[in-house]
Amino acid sequence: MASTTRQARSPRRPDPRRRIDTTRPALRPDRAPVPRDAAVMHAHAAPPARTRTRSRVRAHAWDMGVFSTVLLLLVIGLIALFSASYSNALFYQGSATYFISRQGINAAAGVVAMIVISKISYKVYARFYKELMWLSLILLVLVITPLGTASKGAQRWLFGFQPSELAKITVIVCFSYWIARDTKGIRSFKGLIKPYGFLLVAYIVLLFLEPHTSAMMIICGLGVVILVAGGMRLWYFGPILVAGAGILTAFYFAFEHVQERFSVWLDPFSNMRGEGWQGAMSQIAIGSGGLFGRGLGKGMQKHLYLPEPQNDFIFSSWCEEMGLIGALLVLLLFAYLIFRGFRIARAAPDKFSCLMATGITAKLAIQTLMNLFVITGIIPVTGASLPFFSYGGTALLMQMGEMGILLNISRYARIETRAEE
Amino acid sequence: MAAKGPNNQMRARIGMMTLAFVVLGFGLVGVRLLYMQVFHYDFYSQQAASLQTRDTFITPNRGKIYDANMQVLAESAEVERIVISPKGVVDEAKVNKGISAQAQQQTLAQILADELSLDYDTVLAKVQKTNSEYEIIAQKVDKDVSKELYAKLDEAGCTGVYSEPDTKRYYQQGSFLSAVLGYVDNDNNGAYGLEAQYNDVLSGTAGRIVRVQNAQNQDMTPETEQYIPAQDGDSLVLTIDSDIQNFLEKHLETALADNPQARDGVSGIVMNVKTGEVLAMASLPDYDPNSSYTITDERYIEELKTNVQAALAEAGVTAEISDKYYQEGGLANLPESVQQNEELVDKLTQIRSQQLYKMWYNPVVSDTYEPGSTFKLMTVATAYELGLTSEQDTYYCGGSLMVGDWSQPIRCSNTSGHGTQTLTEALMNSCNVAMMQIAAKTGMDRFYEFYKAFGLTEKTGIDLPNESSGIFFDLNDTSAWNEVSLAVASFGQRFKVTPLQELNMVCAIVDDGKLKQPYVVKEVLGSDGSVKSTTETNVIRQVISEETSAYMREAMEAVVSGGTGKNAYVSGYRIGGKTATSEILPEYDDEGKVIDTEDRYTASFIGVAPMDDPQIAVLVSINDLPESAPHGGGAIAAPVVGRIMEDVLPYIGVTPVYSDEENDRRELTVPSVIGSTEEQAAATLAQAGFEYRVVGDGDTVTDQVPSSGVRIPASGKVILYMGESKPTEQISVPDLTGLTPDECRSTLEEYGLYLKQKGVASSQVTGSTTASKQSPAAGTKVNIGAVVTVEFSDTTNVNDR
Repeated sequence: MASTTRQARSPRRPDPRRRIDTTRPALRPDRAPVPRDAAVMHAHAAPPARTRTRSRVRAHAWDMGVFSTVLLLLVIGLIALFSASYSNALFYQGSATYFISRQGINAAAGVVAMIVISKISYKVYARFYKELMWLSLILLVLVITPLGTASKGAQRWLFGFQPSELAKITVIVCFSYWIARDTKGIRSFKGLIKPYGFLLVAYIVLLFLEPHTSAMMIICGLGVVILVAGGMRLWYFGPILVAGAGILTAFYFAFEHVQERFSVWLDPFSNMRGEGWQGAMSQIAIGSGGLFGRGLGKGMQKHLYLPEPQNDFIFSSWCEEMGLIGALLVLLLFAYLIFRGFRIARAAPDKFSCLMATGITAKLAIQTLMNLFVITGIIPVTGASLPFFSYGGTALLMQMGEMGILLNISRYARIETRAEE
Repeated sequence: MAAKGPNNQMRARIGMMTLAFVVLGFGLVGVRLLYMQVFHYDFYSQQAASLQTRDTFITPNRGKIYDANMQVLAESAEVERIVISPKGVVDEAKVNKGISAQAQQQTLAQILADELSLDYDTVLAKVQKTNSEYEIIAQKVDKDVSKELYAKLDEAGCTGVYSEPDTKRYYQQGSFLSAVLGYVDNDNNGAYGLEAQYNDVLSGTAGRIVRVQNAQNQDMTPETEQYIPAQDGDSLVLTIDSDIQNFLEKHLETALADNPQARDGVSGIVMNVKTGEVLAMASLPDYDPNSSYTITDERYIEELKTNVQAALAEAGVTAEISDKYYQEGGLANLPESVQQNEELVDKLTQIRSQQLYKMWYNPVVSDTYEPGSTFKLMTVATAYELGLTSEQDTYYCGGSLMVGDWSQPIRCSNTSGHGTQTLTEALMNSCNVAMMQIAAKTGMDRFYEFYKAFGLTEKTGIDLPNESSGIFFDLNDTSAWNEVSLAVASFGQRFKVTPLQELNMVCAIVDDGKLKQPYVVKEVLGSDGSVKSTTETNVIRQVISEETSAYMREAMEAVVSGGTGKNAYVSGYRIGGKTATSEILPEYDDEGKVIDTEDRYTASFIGVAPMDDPQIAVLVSINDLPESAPHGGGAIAAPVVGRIMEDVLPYIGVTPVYSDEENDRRELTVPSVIGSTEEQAAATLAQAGFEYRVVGDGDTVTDQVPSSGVRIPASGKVILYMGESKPTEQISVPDLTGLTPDECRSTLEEYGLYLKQKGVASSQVTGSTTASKQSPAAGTKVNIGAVVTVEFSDTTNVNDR
């Protein structure tokens, strides 16, 4: 009899170990069970005694769906990157392979990192949550000092590394840990303010100083997603939404450039040679691709029309060359990966890993959708790269690392969810 | 509890998130992509095409305009449009070196202003428009000028200046033929004259290069380039002969100088009687189509000044307007006090535009006038054709005639009356009374029928723009078209035609009645020089019979040889013609008061030659003369036609034939008689047709005046020096103005000079035939034996009104 989540939700919870034993006899016994309780609880005082007696989940094979989808996206991403970037690379860097060669190395390193990290127990991260938090905060402070590197009016780089990337993963780790430690805390308003609110506000303020709007939005989004998954009362959203809408409206009427940006977003062609350039170039690339595209490598917009086609607008170029068909294929891969990610979360062995997997997947989903929304003109243009596709060492390595963590968590997935496959 | 796996609420919430991200998020993107890539594909691919491809227009070369002898009159050359990108002027690197942005802009503006002769402040204002990427600095800049400019710019290290190719129309001979040629505007489109009429033929078709380019305007692969070559414009070959045009313009200039009070200048046409080809057409003062917006002619400037002053006075403004404004216009050339008065500026601009329109206008085609007495040819030809009159008929003129219910008698030019005259004499006298009688016989209907048949109610169809068709009486209005109006119409008053219509009518009258369509363009040549089309003579209809035409030729010749047209006489040629002095209807102001203080007239003459086989017809009109100035067509217009004929007839190959009466006008070549005895010399000279006189008392001729081979009038005496040599000191030519031919001849003889007599046939010379022009002018130093050409005219019995 196949087990279902419905059964899992039944008040009388069956013993998980028995289920493993009965439904999955092929489970490799050679893998030693990770002493998870020790790992998680080591750093904290007074773990509830009941956890000690809780049944253990042995590590098993990782989620092949995630692994293969990530590899597929990475390969397609590299192809897209080469096609999209060579013109730009030739013009500005003097070498057509400038971007692809560097990204190829990053990708290889990323795959190695993913595999290595997938071997490291996710529980490790909980142990260093504090260090992570302080490190990210210190780096975010450093980046706005003269140590940081400014480009295009924003100071986001610190010796080739974006501290905001660290902040994103820190939010995931910290929030997951705090919720796992004190599930009830987030059910009160007071519990939300501290520590969740404090950390978010600290990040927001620091990112605002860079400034880095898209990172701000992603971190907020991640925080909210983890809190919601962790059990925050949904009606808290009411005031948050009202306040957010109010602030946005006030912004709209207070600043002329916001209104301008808004109108440019609605019709980038009205000011194509000016403010609307990026949006218009992206939309022209996508729209002129048609159903089947111009053919791989035959795109026109990458020839210096699209701003940084190797980066935020790489998918516009992909849409132009591969058409709706090629675009939907990539969308499906992303959607499937996200679906798998959330599946792992739901089957996670404990709350911490569940929320970690949720956060990692949500981060992937938010970043991907934000990029797609920007390039298709659904939201105003803001800097948002596309995971696995966009050029950039830090982001790719972080992304692959996160996938490694997700894969690691998948190895402890409860069997009843795995059995659904 | 905390370390337990995710509870149901968490799993449910994560499930909802999966749904939200995957279905809503990706679904939204998918739908958006479908919308963009499939449903709105056309819009985006069009945007892409217009973005990624560059269209470069290739300007075709505008065709040339040649005269009948393939001499180039107008051609285009490549020039440059100097453009700046104010954004690209300031070099940041230089700013860092301490050269301020402002200083860089000023340097550039100074160089541009100096090299292109522009106003520094205007240029600087354009340079400082730093939001702009495109400001035109100068149009139609010659290549050598721009080359020098770029050399200067390089030297100074200025950036942001570039050129765009353009073409400029060059009219090598300046104002020559300007009324016919017209000019082209800044966009190389014909604005007036032939340039406008044949703009489509001349301009050709622009070509295109469609290139696929990246955002840095670099060409992509060459195979994506599409090249559509430009089709150069065709060229025109005119019927206009530059030499004849030169004769016409030269003599019109003289006429204008002689009649400075002619408010609307002078105009003239030379036509080929048999084909309808226009050989020359001019109107003075004229303008230079190379700079068509500049007014240079003194007369135009004066007129403009008068109108501008009137406008200033009306506005109650006292301001000194610079000459530069009168010449070039332009707001900047007005005083600042005027510049601020927008209404006044508009008014002044309007006044100047009107002046320009008047300058560009071709009045012989576009303006109408009351033809006056030249129209009597039509009155006579019509009646003759209808058999209502003949050479034998006589008409009595008592000086005036009562017509219909008109309260006053209509007067003839000779108020004491011409007495009894034959039909030919009536024309020679230009008798109004006789014409009224003849027209009355013809009747209103038939008169109009012929008027129409002569093409006077419609445009001639000449290939020039803005042709007018004239104004006749309203046929349906009996108060307008009645016996009285028929009577005044018989001598060409109170209706209007264009000078071209009038001349074309005369051509029909002398060319066996055949009315033709006049034309200016003989051939259209393709850009490779091949003939694409040729204009054929288009005979519209035969209006009168050959017999009537033959009689009219005779009568017209009589007008010149013995009538009011005698001042158009050219010895050796059979010239016919008709004079006209037509009244101009007074202008009224808004209150209905007559503006002019005196009557005004158009003096004109139409001449045809040679009368045994008419080849050319010439019309000259001197427009808008006041009563107080000489204004008789026979007195002032006829001599001009005579001078034109004298130049044109030999040019077109008509050899002069002198009748016995004209023997004195014949020119003979002096033979050499040096070394011979007086007897021998006398024989030789007699054989050559000369008389002689002797100076000195030697045995043989030691010198002679004129030298052998020189042509002098047959009436001149050769001087033989016997034992002496001819004096070498130069003689100052005496002033002969006002002297009769005989007085002139004897005066010149005293000086050892010869008279070449021109104008008025010897048989027509009276006591009032006097020298009006001489060449060389009085006071000029000449050698002994030189020929002095004197033109005689007669102001008596040439009155035609």
